[in-house]
Amino acid sequence: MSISLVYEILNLFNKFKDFIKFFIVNPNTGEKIEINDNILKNQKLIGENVIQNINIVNINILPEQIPEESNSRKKELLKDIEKEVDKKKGALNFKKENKFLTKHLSPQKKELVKNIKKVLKWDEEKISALFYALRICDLEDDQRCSEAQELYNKINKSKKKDLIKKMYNFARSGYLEGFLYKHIFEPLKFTNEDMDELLKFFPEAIWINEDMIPSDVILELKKRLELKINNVIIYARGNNNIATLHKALILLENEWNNITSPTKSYMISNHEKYMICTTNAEKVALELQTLSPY
Amino acid sequence: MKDLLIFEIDGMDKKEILEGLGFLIDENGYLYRDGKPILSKIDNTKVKVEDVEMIVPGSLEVLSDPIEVSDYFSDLE
Repeated sequence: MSISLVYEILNLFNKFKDFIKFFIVNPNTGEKIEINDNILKNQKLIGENVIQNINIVNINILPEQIPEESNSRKKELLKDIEKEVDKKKGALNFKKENKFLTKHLSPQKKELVKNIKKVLKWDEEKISALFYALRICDLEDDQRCSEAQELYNKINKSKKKDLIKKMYNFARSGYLEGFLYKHIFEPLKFTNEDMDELLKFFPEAIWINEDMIPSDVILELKKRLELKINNVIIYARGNNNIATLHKALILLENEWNNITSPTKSYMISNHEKYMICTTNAEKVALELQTLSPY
Repeated sequence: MKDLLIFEIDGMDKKEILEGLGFLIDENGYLYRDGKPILSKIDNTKVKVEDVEMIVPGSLEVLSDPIEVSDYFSDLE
């Protein structure tokens, strides 16, 4: 928080100092420093509490000193806060543990969103969904798993949940950077209009969800086979989805064993196990090959 | 990136703050302004006192969901 802002706040709330105390709050640690005349002598202390562009002021209303005047003074205080926040851009926060205040997207992800907006020209709906998807990725990457889950649960109630989940899949699996790169060579690919189609059907990957059974995975592979997609990756996250993946691979293997003539099918080229936060995840890379009967 | 000024108030009831800012609150805790219920931008459901995460005092915009909160702040960047 800048010294000038501290001065401003000090002046603004000086008239309330008989019934409030106010503090600068470190957005990351929650540590509070009381703003009073003495704090201005300790500029280093203020500097240490500058966190990016977020200035949090905690107003502590002291127990009623003059009960009969209390209500009107509180209203007056609220009016002043209202005016100040309107002038400065900000808000009155009720949820102090709200980490979304302090956790914007990481610089890399911000850059990614900016590029997608600028280069691929995705519409606001997609960008907004992407924003939440990347937020979850950031939280997971920081091992803030319960916050990631909390946001995911909120998103699950949202009307945009399907779009956000699809964006999350693209983001989590690292496709977004690829979209930007491939777009250089194929300028019509991954643009807003192209994404409308790719969000309905993405040939390069299959993300197993809880609603899918193993034969659904095989069906999805057959669609890709018809389109002669050479490489497909299947992603599964969570033990249930991983079990579905394993069963689907057994079905696929059975198909290999039952061919009677040279047949095109997908063969496993790589099988990777990893963790996302505290959840098990697996991905299987498949390659289209011509198989001969044994 | 603009500077954001966030206020938090201790020692005053949330309901009291909301009423002080001009909201009406019914017996079930739902918020109204100008006779109309406040609706969540995410799922269009009526917003209760307990749902309110933030208020943008100037516009009296209610942010009842982390998604709305992050939207609001990302818009300011």
